[in-house]
Amino acid sequence: MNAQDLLSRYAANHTNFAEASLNGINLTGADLIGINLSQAYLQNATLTMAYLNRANLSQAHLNRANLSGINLSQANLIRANLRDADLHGAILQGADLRGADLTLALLIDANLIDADLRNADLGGANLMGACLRGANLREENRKYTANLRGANLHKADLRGANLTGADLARVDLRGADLSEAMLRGADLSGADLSGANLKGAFLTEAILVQARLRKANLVNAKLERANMKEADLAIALLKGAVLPDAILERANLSEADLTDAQLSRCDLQRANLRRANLKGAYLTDAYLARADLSNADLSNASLVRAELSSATLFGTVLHGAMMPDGSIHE
Amino acid sequence: MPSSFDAAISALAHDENLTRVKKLLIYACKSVWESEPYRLEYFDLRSLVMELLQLAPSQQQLRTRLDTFVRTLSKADEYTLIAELIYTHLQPLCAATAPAVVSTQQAIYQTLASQLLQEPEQVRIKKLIYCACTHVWENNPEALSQMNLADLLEHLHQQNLAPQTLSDTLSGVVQSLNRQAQYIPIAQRVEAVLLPLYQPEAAEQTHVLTGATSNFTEPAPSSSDTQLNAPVGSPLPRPLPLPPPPPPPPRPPTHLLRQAKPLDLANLMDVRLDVMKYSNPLRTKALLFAVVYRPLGSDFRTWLVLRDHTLDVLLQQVFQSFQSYGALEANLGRVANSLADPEIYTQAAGAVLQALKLYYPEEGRSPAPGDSDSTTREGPNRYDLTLPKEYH
Repeated sequence: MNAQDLLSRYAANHTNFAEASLNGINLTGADLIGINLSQAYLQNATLTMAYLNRANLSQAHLNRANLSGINLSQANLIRANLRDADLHGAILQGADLRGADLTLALLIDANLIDADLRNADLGGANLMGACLRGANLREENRKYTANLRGANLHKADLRGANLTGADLARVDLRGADLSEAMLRGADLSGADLSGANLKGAFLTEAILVQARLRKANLVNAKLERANMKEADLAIALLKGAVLPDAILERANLSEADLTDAQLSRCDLQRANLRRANLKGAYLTDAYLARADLSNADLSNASLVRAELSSATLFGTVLHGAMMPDGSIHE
Repeated sequence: MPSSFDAAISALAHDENLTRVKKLLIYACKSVWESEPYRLEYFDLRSLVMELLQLAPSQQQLRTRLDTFVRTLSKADEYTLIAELIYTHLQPLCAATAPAVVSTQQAIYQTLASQLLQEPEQVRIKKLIYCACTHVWENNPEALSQMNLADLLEHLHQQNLAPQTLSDTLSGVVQSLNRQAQYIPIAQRVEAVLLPLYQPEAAEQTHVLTGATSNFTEPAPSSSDTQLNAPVGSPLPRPLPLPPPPPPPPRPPTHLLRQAKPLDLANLMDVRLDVMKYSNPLRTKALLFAVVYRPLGSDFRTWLVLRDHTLDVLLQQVFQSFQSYGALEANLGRVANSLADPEIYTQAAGAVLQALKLYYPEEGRSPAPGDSDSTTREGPNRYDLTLPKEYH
């Protein structure tokens, strides 16, 4: 079937094109709202700027298709194959992309607001500047989880997105906005979050091993039991952050702002806290073996029962701090 | 066997449009429009190409530079084709990516200078900086073209080691000029480019992008003879004779008008979100690109260039291009109407305007046609643009 045929039939109210063979078809700018293309073959098709709002494209074959600027709002793309597809500037607001294959897809500046991406595969996809506000990427169980490994999410908007348990290993999230995002148990090992906004984000039990968080904003973030071994948090903002029982072994926290942060029972062995600001921080029962606190400011901090015997306290300010033995430093 | 450089030169030299090619090359390298045929003879094609490739070594930079300069011309359509021709022949000579930044002190000034060299306003930039350093106003184009911008920036920085001093020095120079309004965005641009020298950390955290009217005080009557018109016989195009702009009508007291919200990186996310919610992102990008660079045409294959320009940066560039909401509205509307499918582009324009409205101060009255927002015209057909530096 060619484009003319399809458009004529669509105009005559025939909208069911399930399993149709339409490889390489050119439907640029076409109005195909509500069309049924379930399981259709559309590899290498061109649907630039077309209108497929609420279309049914479940399990459709759209690999390498050119879908730039396409309108797929509220469309059904469950388990669709969009591998290597061009979705630059596409509208996927409210689309159902559960189980879809978007590996290596181009999603620069795409609108994925409120999209359902559970169990979708976005490995290696380019989502630079994409908006995923309120999108659902939540892990349902071990087998049903969203994959974003190695994806490019530079400056993406993920505010309020649900990324519980998502696989974000080595993702580029530089300058991204993740404020208030749900990242509980998410795997962010080796991810680049330099300069990212994680204000108030939920990172409980998240894996941030070797993650880069230089200059990231983690004010009021929840990081209970998070694993931040060897993470780079230099100059990061952690004012009021909540990290009891977090693992910060060998982490770099030099010049970080940890004012009023909650670090009880944290494992800070060998951590670099040079010139860090820990004013009023809670380090009760914290483990600071061989930690470097040179020139750090711990005024009014609580160090009750903290293990400080092998920590470096060269030039550390301890004015008003409560020491491990319960005494107040003058 | 000729090298690829020789081949490119030869191809351009034998093109029937050689004269126009040379004019555009001269303009893109020196910001000067040369139309006298005998003067064009003085410029050697080979040297021009080499100079251009030094100023714009990567494909991306070359493309951007040519587009930016062509946009400022009254015969932009004709010269778009010339730019294409130049780009086609020179593209194989470019690096695929921009060269890495070297971190020595001298190289830092060089890097900042190369950012400013992307601007069509580089002559005015040099004039302003030279005057800020020496308190002497130089109009002679020969003298100006001898000046090394990196050296000027170094002197300027060394003489103004505190950021506030820099700001005061530049505003002091601007206030002494006859055409202050044209130099205000130039001063802002110079300050913005030099910002990393003063606050290397803070510059990355938040950028306050002022598209609103400047902080400078009201113009004082100028007694000094620092005239900005090109001297007679110079290669600069003759300014169109225009009457002086009418005095601004009285505005209501500013405390009654809504002040502009500052536009920083966090707000830019909100602006982008609003634009995305109410328009097609690709279509909007094409509109913004048309406003900042050039219209893309209806063949969607030419839209591939949009992949290199993210929506947030385009929004930032458009915001910084216009000093008032009225100017933004007029220009977006004009461009939207000039494109194929104007209704769709007007819809996109509407979304952008709604998203950016709060970042401009409320105006006391609606702007009249021919308002002083696009100030007096001098030289090629243009309005004042302060192109932002790319924020990473």
